[in-house]
Amino acid sequence: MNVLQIVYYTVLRNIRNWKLFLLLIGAPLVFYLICANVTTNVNQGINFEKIKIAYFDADGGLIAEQFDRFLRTKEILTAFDIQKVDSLDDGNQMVKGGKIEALIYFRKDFSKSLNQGKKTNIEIFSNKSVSATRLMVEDFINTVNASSAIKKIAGDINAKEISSGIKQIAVSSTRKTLKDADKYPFLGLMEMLAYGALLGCFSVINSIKKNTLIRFNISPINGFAYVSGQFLGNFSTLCPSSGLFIAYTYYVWGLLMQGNILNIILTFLLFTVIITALGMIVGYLTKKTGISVLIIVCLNGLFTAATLVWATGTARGFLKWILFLSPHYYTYLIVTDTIFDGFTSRIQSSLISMVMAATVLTTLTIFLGRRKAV
Amino acid sequence: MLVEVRNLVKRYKDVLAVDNVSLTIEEGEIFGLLGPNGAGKTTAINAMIGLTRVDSGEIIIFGKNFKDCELEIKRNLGVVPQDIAFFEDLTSYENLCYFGKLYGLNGSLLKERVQEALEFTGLLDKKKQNPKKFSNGMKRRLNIACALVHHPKLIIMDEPTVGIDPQSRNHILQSIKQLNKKGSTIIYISHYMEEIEELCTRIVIMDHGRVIVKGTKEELKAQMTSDERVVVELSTANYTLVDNIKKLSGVKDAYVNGNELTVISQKNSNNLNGIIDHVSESSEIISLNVEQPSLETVFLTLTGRSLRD
Repeated sequence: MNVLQIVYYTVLRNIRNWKLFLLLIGAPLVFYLICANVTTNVNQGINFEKIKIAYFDADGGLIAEQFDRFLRTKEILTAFDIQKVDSLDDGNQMVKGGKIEALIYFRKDFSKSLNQGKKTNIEIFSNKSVSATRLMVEDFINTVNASSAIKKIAGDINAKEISSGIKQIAVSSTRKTLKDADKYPFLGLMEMLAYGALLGCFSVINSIKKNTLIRFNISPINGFAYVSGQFLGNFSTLCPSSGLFIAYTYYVWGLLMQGNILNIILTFLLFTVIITALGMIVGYLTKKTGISVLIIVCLNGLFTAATLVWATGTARGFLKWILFLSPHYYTYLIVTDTIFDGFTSRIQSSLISMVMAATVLTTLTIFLGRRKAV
Repeated sequence: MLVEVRNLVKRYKDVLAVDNVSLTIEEGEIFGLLGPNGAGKTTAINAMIGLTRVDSGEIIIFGKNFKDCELEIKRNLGVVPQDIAFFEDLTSYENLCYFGKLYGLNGSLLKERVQEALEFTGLLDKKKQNPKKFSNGMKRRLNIACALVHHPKLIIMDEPTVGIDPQSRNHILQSIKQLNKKGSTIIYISHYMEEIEELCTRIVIMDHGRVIVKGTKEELKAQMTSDERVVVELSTANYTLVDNIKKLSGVKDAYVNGNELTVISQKNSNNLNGIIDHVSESSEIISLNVEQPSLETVFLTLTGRSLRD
């Protein structure tokens, strides 16, 4: 028997398990609704007062002038107490001394870089990693986008944090932007896709619990063929979900993708490999349905939460460290950076991380499948 | 010789599950394996089918060493596990196709064999049904069909009739006899002594990981019993009759209980005619039963009556 036949029967069995499919769609939806509700309630409790900020314009170009006018609008002045400073050092001293919450800085060659079509940054210096200044600057970029060629790099806010809490907002010369509102459904759907790990997990546990594994162990096929067939079967079952996600991405941002679809397909394939392997590994290690579901739900929730707080610029502490293990984070980075002109080096390093994770986890799955299944 | 097991040893930490077991199974026989729970039967069988790695010993099946030719041997092995082992989300037909393909069957041969296995187990009309809705007896039959689809030379059946109705059990037992007639060698593990007695040509009883006795059922009974017991139901019974019976040659004891006379004689004393003559002189015989020692008696004598874990 070849591996493809095992793949065929694994897919057939997965498709007929309609209750699991319902779970894979229903559970993340509920989880997403809960998260959205919690976020809304937290935001309602904020006691708002004017935020003291300063800005220094070393560029003196058209954009800086527009920004100056933007800062003097009624809407901004009701929320911010703004002052101009004469030098970057003065502004930084005020930030460090706590006199202002943030300093907005336009570099000397800001306009020049933009005119040459290069990416450049509006920088924010702040002691707080969570600041409304960032949102205000983003708002400015989005406003300006309507009439000029300045665009914010979408994926995140490219929050490059230096020791004192200095932030940068990358600005792209193309017309691309990722709105905060788009991040939530994107991450919600990614979480939903990641629940596919349950499929691999249940397939492993059911074959042990329902004794069907014995049939394979006593038959004249080797363990590698069986485990890889089962793995590919589960992976193939999840591929249509990934395909739908790619279709969703293309539907929403298709016009901005400019032929980068292959990069996104590759990313989602790697993501699907990782979640399939992760599910099967949890199944092999626990061999129990309840504990496996708990582990997968917690891991998925944690990875999604870490990516979500990073995407909204509020990642800190434990969640920040979790990011490095999160396939959701790398997928999000690659997709958003690819669509919204992010850093190429970051796309490359994220892809390498995902390939490494997929390789390690697949190898581990096959190793455990051959050794721990009985 | 189809199977030869030499000095098999399997240890689980401090527990010696199989202790130096040696067995031989001839081609064409139905070989019974008996033993109380935890006797080591399943461990020994698992070692023979490659589910358990042994600590020492040698397993030779079809003249080949299991260690060296595992896949080749497995091609001709059919195993009916104690627990139901098929996919409940596939139909009976699909299950058999799947397991048939594991043994290299394909195309028209596969279809033919699947059809044959379904017919053999009486499930042909249920081939498109999902086994989730099957009765326990039907599930057991499908479990057997899965092991037969590739026409194995050696079939190992681990308690295939547990928890089923007498009709299904009878069907399974008849099927086993048919398989044997067709040339399959069968290793049959069961706790049901009457099944072992009915089916098996040779029997091994295991306990505490060791083979404690082996032979044909007649040999086992002969080894274990020295008495013969005759129970006669009479119209009337009296103590004079008992005294007369006791005087017969070979009679060790005789007693009445109501209208029932029990006579215990030495093995092979051949005094049944004398007993009937004496009894019929003074009373009318309603029924007469010569009680043979059962396999269960042998089993309990050898393994004891204390409960096992």
